[in-house]
Amino acid sequence: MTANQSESDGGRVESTQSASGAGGPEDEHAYSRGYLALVRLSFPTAILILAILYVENTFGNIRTENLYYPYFVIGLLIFFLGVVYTREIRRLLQVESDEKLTTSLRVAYDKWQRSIGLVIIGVVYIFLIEVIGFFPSTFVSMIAIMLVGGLRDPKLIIGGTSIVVALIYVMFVQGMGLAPPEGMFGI
Amino acid sequence: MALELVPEALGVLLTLENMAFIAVGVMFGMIAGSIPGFTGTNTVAIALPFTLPMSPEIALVFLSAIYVGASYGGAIPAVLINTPGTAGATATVLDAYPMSQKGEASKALGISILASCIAGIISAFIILLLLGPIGDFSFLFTNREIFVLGLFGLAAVAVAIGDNMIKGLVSGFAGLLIAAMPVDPTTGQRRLDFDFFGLYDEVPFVPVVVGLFAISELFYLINKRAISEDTKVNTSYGDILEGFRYAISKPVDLIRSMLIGLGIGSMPGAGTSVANFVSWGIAKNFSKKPEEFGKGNPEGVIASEGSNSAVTAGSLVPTLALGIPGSGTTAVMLAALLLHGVRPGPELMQEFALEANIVILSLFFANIALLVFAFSVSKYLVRIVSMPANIIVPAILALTVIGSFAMRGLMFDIWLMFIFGIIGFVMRKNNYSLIPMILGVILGPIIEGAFLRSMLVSSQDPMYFFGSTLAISLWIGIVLVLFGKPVYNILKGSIRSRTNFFD
Repeated sequence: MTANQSESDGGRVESTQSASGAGGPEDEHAYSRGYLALVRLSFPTAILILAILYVENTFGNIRTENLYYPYFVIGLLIFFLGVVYTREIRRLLQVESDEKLTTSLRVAYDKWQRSIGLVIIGVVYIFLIEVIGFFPSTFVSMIAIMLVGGLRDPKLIIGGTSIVVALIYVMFVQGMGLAPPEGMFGI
Repeated sequence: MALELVPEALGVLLTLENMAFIAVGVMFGMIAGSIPGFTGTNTVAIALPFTLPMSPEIALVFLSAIYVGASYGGAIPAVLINTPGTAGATATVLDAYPMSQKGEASKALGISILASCIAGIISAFIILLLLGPIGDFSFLFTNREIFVLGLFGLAAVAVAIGDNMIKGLVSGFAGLLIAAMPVDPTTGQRRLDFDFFGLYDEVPFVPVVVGLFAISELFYLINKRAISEDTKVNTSYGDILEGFRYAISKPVDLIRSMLIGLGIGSMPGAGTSVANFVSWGIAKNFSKKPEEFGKGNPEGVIASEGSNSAVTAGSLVPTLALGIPGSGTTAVMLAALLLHGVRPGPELMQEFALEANIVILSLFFANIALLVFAFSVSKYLVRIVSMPANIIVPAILALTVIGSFAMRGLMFDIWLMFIFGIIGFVMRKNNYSLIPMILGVILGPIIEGAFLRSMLVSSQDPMYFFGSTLAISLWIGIVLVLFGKPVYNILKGSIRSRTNFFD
């Protein structure tokens, strides 16, 4: 355990990271430079694009005095992003790896295939909610996630799903009066 | 000022309903906290939307109870299976697990329970006494100071949390930018809502908080079968009581760890993991048997658990007084305050002093409930960690979906939660701290409002932000926070190259 492990990652502790093989930057030797660039620069690039879109949408459309604050934020943000880019690119240039991008992507896929499966099921789940309603889509998606997660015991899958769905209904719909999203059939 | 409100706060708090919510909250927090990787921050984030139908007082009491329960819950797997449930219990492992290996698991549990409860109760009492001076201090803040304080808070949290200051600042300012996407607050003109009605007048912070913390965690959890299968530990109530007796026999250790936790917890962003290691290290220095630390010395368990419990109360000080969270969980608590119409920031102690008293007083009762529940069920909670992750993950996903939808009844919020879950995962993968972003999103509208009002008052004069002693002090604080460590490192390197002072 490290002393500087903080709640910064939502409180996740190191043991969990190591157990799941997650957290922290990728091992530089196991991946190609292109892959590492993709992973490391994705977040700052997304934020940079957001900042550019913000300026494009507001400049000339909103009076200047009202843009002082957001542009002050964007100015500082771009400065910090510049520092991050400089550091990351410098680190990337020092990477010595013979791996190809496609190989690295395959390795990453193998490592994170359950997480990728969860993303796909999550997207389908939210689409399904709008079509068939919260409870039927939750039932189907929970089973799918359990299967993706490696659970194969049918009793545990059906039993676990039924209990959770029933608990949500009793606690949140009956008990707290929350209205779950309905689908096209009003379920 | 604040102590005068204690009888009224007690009147509001001491109802059967509130006591029931405290009991449920502590129990829920303990269970979630005992799952390694699923901590107070995630637990409070998940529970946040479900407090929507509650009154503000009950909601805050309920979330505080969860916070207390989760803070302790992390000790259970630390004692029994060598895995801390929360970051705050990391130092607990060092001595508690060796105690378990020596057949003293129950005693270690007993020590951790009593150290947590006593430190929690005393620290809550101290914070209660401090609320008055804090309230008086908060009257010094006008819009100008609130704006600078917001920047100071972001800088302090970005520097204190995580390993990379610049990435923390990117995270925080990205949060401010996201918060500035809806309509212009003065003219109502649209800025950057991508034509989504759900982003028109505000960024819904509940889906953002739940997504960043809870959903991103699921992408890690899904890769695990079970957190631990090693649950064969023999425990008994008699030995837990023996642990109680040991903890009571060490009042100095208890008080010292509590004071350390309280002090570090009161620093914005410092968090429990710092406190419990500092406390453990100091206890080792003061111990008559320092060589036994890390090998099953019960004093080490007191040091760690006493401090992390006191952090819970301590971290509420900057949260309630200034709107700057002392830990990840209190960052989510800020969202809870906002959700229930309690505006975080210096104005909180002026306008919501009663609510602040209720939150602190609820810590007393939550710790008493913790004592009862922890004694009764700690030995059984170890089974939670043997539950397959592939059952926990879909259950949490379903809960977060209905929770995010509940606030505004918009499907957009569910999508937003999921997207922020992916963003959170990418951020964590690249060592960007999540807490500054949450803080930026929550405080963004408050900081922007303070900025706009200040500019209006000063006829657009930017020098107005340097026009008071408090504002100048805060600017100096920002400079010190941002440049203190780099300058120290440069000086240290320079001195080291010329002398052997640091060797």
